[in-house]
Amino acid sequence: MMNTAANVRTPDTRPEEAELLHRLRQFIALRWVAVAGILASAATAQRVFAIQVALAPILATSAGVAACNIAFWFWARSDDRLARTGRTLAHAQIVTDLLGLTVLLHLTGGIENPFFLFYFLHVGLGIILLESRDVYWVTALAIGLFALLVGTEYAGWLPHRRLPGFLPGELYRQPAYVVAVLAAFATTLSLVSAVATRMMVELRRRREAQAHVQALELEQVRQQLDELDRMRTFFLALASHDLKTPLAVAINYIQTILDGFVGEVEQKQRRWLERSVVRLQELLQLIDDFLDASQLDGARIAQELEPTCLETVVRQAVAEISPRARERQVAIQTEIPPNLSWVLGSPKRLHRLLINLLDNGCKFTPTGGRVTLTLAEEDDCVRVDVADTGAGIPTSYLPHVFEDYFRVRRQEFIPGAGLGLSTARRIVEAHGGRIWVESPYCPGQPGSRFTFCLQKASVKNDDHP
Amino acid sequence: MDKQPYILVVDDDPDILDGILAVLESQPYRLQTARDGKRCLEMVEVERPDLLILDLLMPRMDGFAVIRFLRENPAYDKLPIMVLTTVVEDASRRRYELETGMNMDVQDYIQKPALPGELIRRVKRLLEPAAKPH
Repeated sequence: MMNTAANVRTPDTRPEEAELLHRLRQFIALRWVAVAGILASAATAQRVFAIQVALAPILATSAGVAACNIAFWFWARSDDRLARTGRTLAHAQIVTDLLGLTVLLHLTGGIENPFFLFYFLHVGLGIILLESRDVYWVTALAIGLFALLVGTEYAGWLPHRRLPGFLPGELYRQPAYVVAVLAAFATTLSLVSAVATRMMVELRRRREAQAHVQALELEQVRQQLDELDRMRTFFLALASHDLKTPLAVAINYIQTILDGFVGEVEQKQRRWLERSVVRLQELLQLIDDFLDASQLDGARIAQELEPTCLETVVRQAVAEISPRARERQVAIQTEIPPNLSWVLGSPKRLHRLLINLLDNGCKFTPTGGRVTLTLAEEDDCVRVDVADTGAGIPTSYLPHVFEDYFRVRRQEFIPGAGLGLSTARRIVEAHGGRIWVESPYCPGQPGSRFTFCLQKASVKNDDHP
Repeated sequence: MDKQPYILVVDDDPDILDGILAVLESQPYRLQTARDGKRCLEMVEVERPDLLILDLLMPRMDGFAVIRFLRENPAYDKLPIMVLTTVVEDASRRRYELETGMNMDVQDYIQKPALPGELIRRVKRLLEPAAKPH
């Protein structure tokens, strides 16, 4: 009865996943800024601080990073591919950045360049992007690359590129300095990485726990609603049973007498008994109307919508109302165009809606009058008109005819609870439509015309057997 | 040998039982009555009826439970049942489905008041040999 599908998430739209994909794209954009930053700082160092840097290899390295970034950008263009290989792309991006940083450091003074602090930034990005286990690998890689650079330069296996004009002496050859920087770097980076990862894991865990609790609460509320709905159905059934049983017994008895099961009935007695049955049936109908109105639930009707052949529903409703119309000597006419589109509706509710409107038309049309039901195709809907040749509705009453229990005052007694039109309005509204009335609808002639529209289903009449 | 069909009518309201009997006694049937679901099942055990006319809302054991018990028992899963109740069919079916997760498997469903002629016609149809599964 309740829609549970809304709570179920498909695996490829998990919030963490979506966040990762968003971050990956952000980092690709940031890398362009980084490449520009490298070139700008190299130029600034040379022009402003008169530090002599070898521009050509820096340009080449920047170009390499830029080329990788173009590849990443292509990689991240397709949502599908990104969803499948997001983690791999995250690894590739971080490894590229660490390698690029190490090469750039080598080109700009190695251990003497304070920009080695940028390893912290890249490990930090890794903490945001990666699982905690992978962060340790990235931390180890960062420490390893920096130690390798510093070590090979110290040992003289890799030429040290000094930055003339930046630092005096040859710090990269001072063992105490190299060891101190490496030790401070390795311990700080490891500790920062461990603490931040722990915090990240804790945050993720809390978020998941919260989501879990929310899902449980939602499920509980849903169950309570289901239970309430079940109880309501049950109590309504019970009320209906207790109200209708005595009436049913009385009608049954009278009908049994009328049908001659307990002896002959003379003509005059028969007439009185028949009138009793009619009045009891009215009361029975009234109870049904009350219960119907209390059970008209827009959400439930919305779930019942399906492609429906309106023509079939109309013919059934007209067949059902015909005996009543004949009794009142009111003619019922239908105008249905051929190949009418199917509509989106609940056949059961549309039946009730048409019965209510036709019954209303019959009740308020004098003997010899006519009720006409017209179907007409419009752009995206089918229009339904129910017009009668009755006395019409006084203008001051028009705004109220669709309200619960509203009845137009008349000279003669007309049975009913004043729920027919309000029920009709509820049904139309649950179908996403609107109902209105015009009275008079034709100049110089009394009568009322009720109109509503139903949305077309995406199938045509002749597509169905 | 041409035996009279045996119909068991179950309803908690004596007036309704009398009403149904008054109509069906005009036909060549053997009729028995029960006032609740428990008594109904006891009587079904003693002699299998050819048709069960069953009210739904009753004390002690309601008609829903009777239908469920009979349908879950291989000996009675084909026993013809006519539900005769004031409850709207739609509401009954929904409740039965909610409680059992199954469709309410009954051969006929009449909403009270059942007009005498209509009742006779529909009982006759259910008792026709063609309507019987065995």
